[in-house]
Amino acid sequence: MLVYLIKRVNLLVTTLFLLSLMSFSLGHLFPGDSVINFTGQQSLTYEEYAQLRQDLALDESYFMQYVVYLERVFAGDFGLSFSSQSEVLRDFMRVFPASAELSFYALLVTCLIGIPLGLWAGIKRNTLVDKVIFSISAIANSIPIFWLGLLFILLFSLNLAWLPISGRLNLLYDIPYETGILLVDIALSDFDNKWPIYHDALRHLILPTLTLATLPTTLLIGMMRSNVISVMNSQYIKAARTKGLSLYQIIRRHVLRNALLPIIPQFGLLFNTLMTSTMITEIIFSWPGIGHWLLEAIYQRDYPVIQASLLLVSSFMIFINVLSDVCHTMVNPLVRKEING
Amino acid sequence: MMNNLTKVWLSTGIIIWLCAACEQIKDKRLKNGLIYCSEGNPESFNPQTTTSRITLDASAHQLYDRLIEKSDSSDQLVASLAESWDISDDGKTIDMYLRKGVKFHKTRYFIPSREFNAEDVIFTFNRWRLNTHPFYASADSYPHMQSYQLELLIDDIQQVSSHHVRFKLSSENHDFLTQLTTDYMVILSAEYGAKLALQEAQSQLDNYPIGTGPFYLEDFVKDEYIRYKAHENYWQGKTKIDQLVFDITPQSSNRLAKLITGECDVVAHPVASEMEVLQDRPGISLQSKNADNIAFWAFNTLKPPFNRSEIRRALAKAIDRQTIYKTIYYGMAFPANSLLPPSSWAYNNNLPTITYNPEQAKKELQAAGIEPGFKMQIWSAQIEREYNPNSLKMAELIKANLAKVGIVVEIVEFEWSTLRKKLLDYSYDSVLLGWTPDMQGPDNYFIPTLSCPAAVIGNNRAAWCNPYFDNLLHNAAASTDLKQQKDHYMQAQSLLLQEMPVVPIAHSLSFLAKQHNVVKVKFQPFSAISFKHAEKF
Repeated sequence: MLVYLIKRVNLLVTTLFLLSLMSFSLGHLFPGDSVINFTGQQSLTYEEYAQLRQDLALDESYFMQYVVYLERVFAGDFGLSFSSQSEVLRDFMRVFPASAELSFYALLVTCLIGIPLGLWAGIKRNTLVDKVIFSISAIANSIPIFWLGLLFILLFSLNLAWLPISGRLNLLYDIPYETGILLVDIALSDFDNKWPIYHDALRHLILPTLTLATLPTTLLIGMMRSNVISVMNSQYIKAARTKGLSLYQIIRRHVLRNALLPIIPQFGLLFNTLMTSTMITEIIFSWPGIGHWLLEAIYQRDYPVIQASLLLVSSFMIFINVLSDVCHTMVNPLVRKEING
Repeated sequence: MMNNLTKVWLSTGIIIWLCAACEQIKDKRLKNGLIYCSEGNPESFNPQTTTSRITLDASAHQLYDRLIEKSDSSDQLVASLAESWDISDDGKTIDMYLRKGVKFHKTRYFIPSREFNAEDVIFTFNRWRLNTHPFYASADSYPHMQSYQLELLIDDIQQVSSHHVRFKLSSENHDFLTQLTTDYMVILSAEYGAKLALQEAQSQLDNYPIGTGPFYLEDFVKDEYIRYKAHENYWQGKTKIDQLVFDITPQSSNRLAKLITGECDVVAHPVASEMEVLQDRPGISLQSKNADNIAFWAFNTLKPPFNRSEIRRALAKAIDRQTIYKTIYYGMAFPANSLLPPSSWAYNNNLPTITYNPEQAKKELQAAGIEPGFKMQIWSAQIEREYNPNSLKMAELIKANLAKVGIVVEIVEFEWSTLRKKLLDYSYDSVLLGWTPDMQGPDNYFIPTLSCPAAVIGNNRAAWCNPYFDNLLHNAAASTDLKQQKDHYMQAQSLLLQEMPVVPIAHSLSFLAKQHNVVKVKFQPFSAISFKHAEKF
């Protein structure tokens, strides 16, 4: 087990190393002066410039520069944003909770819809129910998410006028920033009569969450269905049946658990799709998260932000992937046995 | 059977409940605030430092007051922070008697201890007038004042008593009082300045504004929103709305959608192609403004070969402007031949029109030594401007036109404030921009955009400096005879057409769309938007 952990951590560290190397070289590769690209400070006097150049070790070897860069990264110093002149890390921490919140709800919806539907389809294999679920999920799977988002807007917002199309909350509600997670912040705020505010926040959540959840849900349904089918065909289910367990008991005790196990490592993958889709969804629904932030940074040629967000977002994704791998090994005895044996 | 019936009832119930949940709950807090969907990020919150309309919209009338205002209906001068004024016989000394009891904003970053007085006026004007002033260097330039050379016009400003200031002018200038009513002449707080100077935080003066205006700045999150709250002690009485939010929405189609769903109360610059959708929509009304602006294609005349007027003229001939009117303005614009719109009294009717003639353009370009395959850049903003609803698309049309005369165009697009920053380096070949006048009178079309002082500070996008042209403008301003003035302006326009530092493209109508229940938004020529009197029912 320890060897396995070391292997995984090794993978993590190597990838992070390569990423940091790339992010570091961007500072030199972006057009313009590298002192400015690394620090984001645009109006410098000559002395300040010379001092920064020395601090960043830009006159020394690339290796030394890289070491200095890493030191800065570990100290959380990603420089200043060109356009807002505020610290990149602070901006990142401001937008990250919004993305995380949206992804979390989408994941929740994915699990709540995907697992039961997949299970149902798997059990009722080759019946009408299975075919309906399977074809709907195949259709949903092949709809590009940006198109789906626009379709939702057209139908639910512009034609039916049920739901808002942008942002997290009506801007007239001035909720102070505490955790960045909106529903928590509303609870922490000292407004009276909070119900309309929650209601407004939920209305803003529905469309982005549905849009975002569509693709992972279809993936989950597919995975769950095939897992359930293979579990249902296995010998121990037959044994359980001959023992006289009811279908409900079989599903609860054997099928669900065994079908879920192989999905856990897939969550890492699911998370990747979710992250990339989050960025697109954020842009469609003007959700003030990482995707929105990164896109604006690209339009504004805000190099420190592009550089930092590349490193932060990809490190985060790799971290989640490795974590889900490790979790899977901890939970699933079969894999553990493979590694040890 | 019963079981199935229950299911049907249950699911119907859930669907009804869900739909009910979709309806927005009526909340008084929403009625007391107003959301304006604006098109971009302001560069700062001080109009002195820019000519960008977005910055002016976000600051000039929301946060500040001027000494004198223009009346809404006519061009009469109305007392504001100055209660009254006297002009000496020689026109060189102007006495201003200031209003008492005017309070500055109280915000989380500054609490004023005194009311408005003469010190504030002197601080405000000296800030851009004197290069020795501690705050002078905290902004790159003061484009409006510097292109009009107001720092040379004002000799001195003296404090006579705590509420009496005296302006000494170097020469008589009949436009000076009108200058004071422009969006740029906002009054800042000297006390706040002193506090910032003590903290050596000079740059905050423009980003964390303090003024006397109807709203104060609560919060600005770039690319997301600007939040203003009503100034409780506003000297004209507290505004009807408690809160004003600028929802920054760069895409015009998004703004339109948000207006329809009711997420915006007022939206900036609905583009011509969307007018039809808006006109038929119940609950939405449109306000329009005359086509007094000008969209142009400016060449960087510092950069060869664009320093040669024959090349600029040839390029102008290669542009099919008719297609531009049809596909970009949808007929909501007038063709432009000069920077001045035809409605102006100084417009030169005798100017030859710029005609589309690619063959001749090609010949002229070859004669000037431009080989086929010549590469050039066109810079363009991503957002709609009053004068240009779609500058990217315009750049693409021009690209296609120029391809026919053998020129390869690369379009470079920027976010608005980034574009403005990058333009200051004069590293571009050409750029699609325009101008919306802030003052009545023809010289506002020429002085801030094409004069030599404007070229020095970077507001002259063609970087074109022609002393003869400046002289014509100067003579026109100095003359009191209308016929003579007109004569000078006519000559200036002919010179521009001959020299072609910028290719005039169109004068566009501009619009504001809003919900029916919002009234009294001030959307008028020669002024940025104002929500001072806005109400929501």
